[in-house]
Amino acid sequence: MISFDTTRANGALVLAVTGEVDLDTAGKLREAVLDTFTEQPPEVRVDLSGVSFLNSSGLSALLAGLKEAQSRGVRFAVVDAQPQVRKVIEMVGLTEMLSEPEKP
Amino acid sequence: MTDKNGAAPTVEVRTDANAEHLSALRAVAADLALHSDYDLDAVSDLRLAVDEACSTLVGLAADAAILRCAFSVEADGIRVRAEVSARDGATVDRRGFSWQVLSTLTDTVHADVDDGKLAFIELVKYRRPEAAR
Repeated sequence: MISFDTTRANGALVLAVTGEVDLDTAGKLREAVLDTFTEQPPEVRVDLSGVSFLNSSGLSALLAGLKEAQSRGVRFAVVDAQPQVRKVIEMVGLTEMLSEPEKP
Repeated sequence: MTDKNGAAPTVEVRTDANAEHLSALRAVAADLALHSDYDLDAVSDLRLAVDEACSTLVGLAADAAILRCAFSVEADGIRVRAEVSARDGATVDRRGFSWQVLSTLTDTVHADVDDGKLAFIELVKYRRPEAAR
């Protein structure tokens, strides 16, 4: 059970994710994150406010997004993660993606 | 399945070793922790730890294998043993995010694939940190 909604906000492409990210759904998150780059946005934000659970397969999906962004020179950030989700991102040292990207 | 003391588990769940059943295992873990007086952070920790353990085993499972997950509520905490028949050559990866999360969230964790190709992960989450000392 996972769904995605894509919007634009001040030029950034915002991918809002709703549901639980686990072994069953992480592949869909990875696809959705990587799909955001096809529009060549200057910035991608993954809004996790609607994500109640995220495990290590979700972390791998987000890391794939971060690496893709870095290879394209696109800013990438995870925003509004719930405390438990934020905790697991910090646990594995991916704090880099939690910081707000610098404004141009 | 019995634990190392020969006691029967509080709850044992058997499912196809398939990712779509992981949410049910998480629900059992969270429910047992809630009813065992764990605080909400510890409930979330146990839910995630059980998910990581069972996800790992789903990844190691032989075709059509059954995942068994036994939860034992004990005086000092909750002990979980999950096991599955592993495919040839399966080993537990201790370098990835999953193991990092699993070992951070639990008080003890042990994983192996035995000679009979049974892959298992045992973990303990104490009710309060003081209980571990």
